[in-house]
Amino acid sequence: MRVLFDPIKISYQNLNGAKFRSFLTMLGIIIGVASVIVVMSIGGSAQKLILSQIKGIGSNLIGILPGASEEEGPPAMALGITITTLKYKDYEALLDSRKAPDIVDAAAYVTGTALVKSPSETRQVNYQGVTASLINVENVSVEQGRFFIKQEDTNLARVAVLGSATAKDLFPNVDPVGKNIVIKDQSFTVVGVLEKRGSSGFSNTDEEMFVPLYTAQKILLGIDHLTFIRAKVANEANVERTIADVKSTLREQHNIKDSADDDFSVRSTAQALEILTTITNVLKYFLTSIAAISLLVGGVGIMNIMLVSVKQRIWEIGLRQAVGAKKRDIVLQFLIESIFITFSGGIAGITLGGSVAFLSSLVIQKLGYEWEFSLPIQSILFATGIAILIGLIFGMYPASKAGRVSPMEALRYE
Amino acid sequence: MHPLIKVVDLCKTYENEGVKTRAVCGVSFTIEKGEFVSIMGPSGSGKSTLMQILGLLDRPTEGKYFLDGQDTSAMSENELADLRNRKIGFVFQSFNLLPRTTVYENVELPLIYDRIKMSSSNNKKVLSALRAVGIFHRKDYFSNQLSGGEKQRVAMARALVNDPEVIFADEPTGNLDSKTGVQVMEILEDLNRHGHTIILVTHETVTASYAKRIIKILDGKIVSDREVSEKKRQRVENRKNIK
Ligand SMILES: Nc1ncnc2c1ncn2[C@@H]1O[C@H](COP(=O)(O)OP(=O)(O)O)[C@@H](O)[C@H]1O
Ligand SMILES: [Mg+2]
Repeated sequence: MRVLFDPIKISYQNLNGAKFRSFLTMLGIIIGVASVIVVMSIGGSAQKLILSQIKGIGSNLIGILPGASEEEGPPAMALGITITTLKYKDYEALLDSRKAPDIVDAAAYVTGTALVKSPSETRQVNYQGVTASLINVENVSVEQGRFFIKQEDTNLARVAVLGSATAKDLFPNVDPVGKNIVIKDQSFTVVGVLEKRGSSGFSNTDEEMFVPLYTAQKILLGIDHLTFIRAKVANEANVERTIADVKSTLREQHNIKDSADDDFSVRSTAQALEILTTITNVLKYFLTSIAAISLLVGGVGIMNIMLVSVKQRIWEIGLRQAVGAKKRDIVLQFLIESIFITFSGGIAGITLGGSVAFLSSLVIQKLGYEWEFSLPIQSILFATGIAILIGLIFGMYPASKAGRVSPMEALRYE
Repeated sequence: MHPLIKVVDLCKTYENEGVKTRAVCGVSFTIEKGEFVSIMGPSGSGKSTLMQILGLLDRPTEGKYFLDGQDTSAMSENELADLRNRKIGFVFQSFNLLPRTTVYENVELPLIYDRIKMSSSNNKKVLSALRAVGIFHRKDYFSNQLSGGEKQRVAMARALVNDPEVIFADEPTGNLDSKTGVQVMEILEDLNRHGHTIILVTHETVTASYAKRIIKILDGKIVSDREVSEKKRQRVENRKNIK
């Protein structure tokens, strides 16, 4: 017991005796451990933020995209390819309760960008041509005025609903409802403004503008396909079955016999969540391992200082051997000393990294994100474990060197 | 009964980068339990080398060494460490105390490496060793707060604490003024009176004369081995009385 406890006391006394030098020795480990902690903490919070936004869309939603796609890979649309296989007829078929009984409602989408003019302003705005059912599918709500009505889906009505930020941009001082805006030389009437929602997933509805589906297809874009359909399932438990229903409905619509020939793809939010979790995990661990590399540099510093220490204290090694210490006692002593140094550095690094991550989270919160500070116990254990491991690995060589000192040799050089 | 120490034709040749130095050669003698022996000779004559071999800090290159009847040449490093721990105590010229460590902890050191004996009696052993050399009142001092003479007392207590068969002292007065040196020698004398075997290494005639037997060596060979005459011992006693 004393053989174990003594080296810890000796290390403490040595470190305490030369505070500044000890600090320099540990600096590499402190910085390494701190960066591991920062990356893990901030990475974890960022991951939580992204995933909670996806969850915010709703976990009982199914997305239907044109074009086939690998189960795990990105949809074709994300790669910038336009595929025109998804039509309004498909959307109608999905709403047929005999074909997909669990779908409560669905919304069809096309997207575009246009220059929009209000009486006082001109802005480049991303818009979505959507069915009136959007309000039932996504969790958006109207702040002023109204959303579209069913007839407007197909009657080419020139009406628009603005996201909260777009409304402020185009009408800085006046109530937009009832005012006219000009899109592509066509005059539209603003019928409503949406409540502020914040960014969700990858899009931010606050900064968008909505027009009815046909109006966008025929008047603004000159196309007859859809970019996206989103369907809401009554019960989360029925999502898998409904995906199958959607697939068979669309195959029927497109006269497809073999699932290998599918010209569409169906995704649930749960799947998207899974994929995103995988991607963000890979990112997080990749960044963590880069941060951990700096620990190796710290380890080399520890090895250097331990070699110096063995040399400086060679008479002490000799004395201990003279009073009965065995080779393994000496090796153990120096190993424990180097582990004590890296362990102490690890604790300091965790404190430093934790503080940096905490201060960063305060700043990020000030910037308006729903950021949650987190310092998971796993990251603390991981960092501590790594620090101990570094001490063990880089202390091995100096310790074995100390163990090879012969007592006679050690006592000669005083 | 076998002698405590028996060496036969002992030789030690150092080899450093091809250069061979014959430090000790052809040395034979026996030392009985309870003796007080000085190994005397000029600097470089091989005294420390001989002491390191007798103290199991180094192995001879030739010859046999029996400690307490056991042939030490066949022993492993760990067995030698155990023997050093239980049967041998060392006192060095430069004290060799651990810095930033208390007197008590320095004296306790050999007990820490003794994993067989009960540790419950450690405290008693340390305190009685401290008393035996008259340094009990400094037990909580740090080693670097002591004078040279006090440091050497601590070193003697450390050598004593495991109740060894033999205590080796290599130039124990070498770093002390003559008055403190005398005090240290008197403690060794006292320990011998209480039954401890003492082997003293020195180049000073006066210091050597505290022993009852002097082995003189020159260039690694024994040139004389005799009991100290009463006349000489008397002279030492007189010197003490003058002080
Ligand atoms: N480790 C060593 N390597 C080489 N030569 C040594 C070593 N130790 C001692 N010697 C040599 O052995 C001789 C005896 O040294 P030593 O035993 O220290 O003598 P003393 O203690 O009588 O002064 C000297 O010539 C010394 O240089
Ligand atoms: Mg010497």
